[in-house]
Amino acid sequence: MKFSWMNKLKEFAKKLDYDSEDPNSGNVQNLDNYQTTKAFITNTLRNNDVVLFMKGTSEMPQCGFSNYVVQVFKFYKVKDFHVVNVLDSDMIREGIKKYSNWPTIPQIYIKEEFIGGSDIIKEMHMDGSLEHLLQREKLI
Amino acid sequence: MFSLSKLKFSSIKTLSNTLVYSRLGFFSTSIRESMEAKLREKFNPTYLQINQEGDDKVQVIIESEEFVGQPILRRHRAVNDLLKDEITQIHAFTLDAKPPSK
Repeated sequence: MKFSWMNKLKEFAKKLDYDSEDPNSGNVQNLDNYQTTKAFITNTLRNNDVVLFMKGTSEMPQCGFSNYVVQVFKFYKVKDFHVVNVLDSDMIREGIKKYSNWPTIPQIYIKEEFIGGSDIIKEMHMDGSLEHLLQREKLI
Repeated sequence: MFSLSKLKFSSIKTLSNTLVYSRLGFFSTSIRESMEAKLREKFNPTYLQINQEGDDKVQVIIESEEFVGQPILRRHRAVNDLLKDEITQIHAFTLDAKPPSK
């Protein structure tokens, strides 16, 4: 009883399939409520410099806006951008909107900071501020 | 007496706007109307264009003094927050929000 909170934490971690040593751990299939979803998102952002929440994968985007962001990242040759396919999980698809307080997909995070969606990436690409940001953060 | 009837009129206007917003689920064109009403009221835009493609794709282009000096994310968040209800009902939403072009 005294350490019930520790047991709860253990169960929580097990449920999340979370290994703090592994930067890409966390199974989207195990997300059954917002708390676990939020933990998954936080963990993903902490362990990856560039994260793209999108529809589909970078090899097979399922939406024009998501594809646009992938192509922009490829254009700048962004090394290792991490993709979360929101179509894999409704919990993620809705959870990331709540987490970011942003209503649409795709969503881009750079060094744990929310940058915006495809419209913002487009504008930043066109005015040079995206290249500037990527260079400043040593991501290209 | 005169100011009392003015007050009544503005209450009726608010009520009718509320009715327009609440009927969004039935008429897709009223998403456009509702967005326009909200954007005009909040941002008093110098330029506003709302394009709707089919039932669920909307593009908003807006220029307003309210956006002067605001970073892009803040401009977008301001519009997204205002149009939260409408955006959840459509599939694709594109936004171009800038200060007035010279």
